[in-house]
Amino acid sequence: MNKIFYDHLVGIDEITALVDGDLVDLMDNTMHHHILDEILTHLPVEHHKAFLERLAHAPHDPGLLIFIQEVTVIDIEKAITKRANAVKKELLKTIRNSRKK
Amino acid sequence: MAGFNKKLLKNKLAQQYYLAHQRFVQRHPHAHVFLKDRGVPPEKLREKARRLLSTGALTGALLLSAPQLAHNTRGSVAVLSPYELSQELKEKLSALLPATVEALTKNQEKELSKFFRSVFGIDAQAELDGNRLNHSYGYIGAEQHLPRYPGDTISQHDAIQESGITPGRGAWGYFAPSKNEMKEDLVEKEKYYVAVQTMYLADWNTRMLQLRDWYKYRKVLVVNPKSGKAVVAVIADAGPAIWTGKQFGGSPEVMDYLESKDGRQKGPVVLFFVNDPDNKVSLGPLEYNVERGGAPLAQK
Repeated sequence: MNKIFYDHLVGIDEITALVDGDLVDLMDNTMHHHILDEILTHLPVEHHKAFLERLAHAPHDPGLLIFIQEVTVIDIEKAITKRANAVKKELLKTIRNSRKK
Repeated sequence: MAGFNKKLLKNKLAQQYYLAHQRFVQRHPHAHVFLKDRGVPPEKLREKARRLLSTGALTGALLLSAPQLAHNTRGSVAVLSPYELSQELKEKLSALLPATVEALTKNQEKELSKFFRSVFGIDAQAELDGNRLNHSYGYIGAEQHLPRYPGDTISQHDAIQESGITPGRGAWGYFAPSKNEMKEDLVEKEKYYVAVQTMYLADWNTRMLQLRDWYKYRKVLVVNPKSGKAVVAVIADAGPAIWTGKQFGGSPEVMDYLESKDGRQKGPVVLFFVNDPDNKVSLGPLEYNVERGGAPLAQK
């Protein structure tokens, strides 16, 4: 898959490798919404527009992570990873519960 | 996928996706609207990255080699991200262009040529071999794909199929007489083509035979001052009509890269001829300096 600037913190491949086809997209898109929610929650509102413009312009630009690191007061990398792990746990649970009995 | 109830799994994952989407929309409605308006909702982020990378945009380590653009504190040679590079280009272009989209003076065109030479290392001019279009700065609108050979369909084009394909041929006919005779360079020409208003040239009717050949696949530099993006394309169609308020048309790939559409489906661009007798300048996104052996302009 083509890279988004936060992919290395998320590790979506760990769970999408377990499924195929449109299920991969469903998982990936779920993760994007959660991660953007996490970022925008911690990013001061006055920086939202600049961040969104840069994201829409080049979603893979590593400069995006540097930008949000500079303007957030928490450890945003840690927050993204924590949120991603929680989402992956939920998705994994869903996969396990869908096993044929 | 063996051992899973795929239908059940899909339903559950769809539900999780829906909840995440709803939460995002409720908590960040401004972000939802912004990204949707820009055509890059969260679901399209990866697709956007794929497009940029497949068109050669922003790929590899891009190192700025035009000293006049360098102004950071990390050394005499600036190391800019693609975003920073486009911001720099926007800033420089805004200083060289008039505040409104209007006819450029000869002096403005000359300054722009110098600027393009210094940044991209190419010879781009508003007038070449005594030929000039009625506009060198104007509005570009989105065109559809062109049929490349008899029987060509939109499904045979490898990208941006949602733009559709024109029912008729371009002003210079098919790119090749048959599918078997299509070559890679012709595929690239259709990908990166522009339409220009040759039909409104004062001498079009009196010199049509010469001008038709001169303009066919003439290489042009198209620069969007609003996005700071530049692309090299060829002239492969005539238009748009004067009543549209646009002076140029861009192929789906050209428009996608330039990010040249606003809410009215048009945007301002500078369009200059590229003097490239040795065919050194490739078609597509211009993110390198030709004279410096293709040295990239920014670092990812």
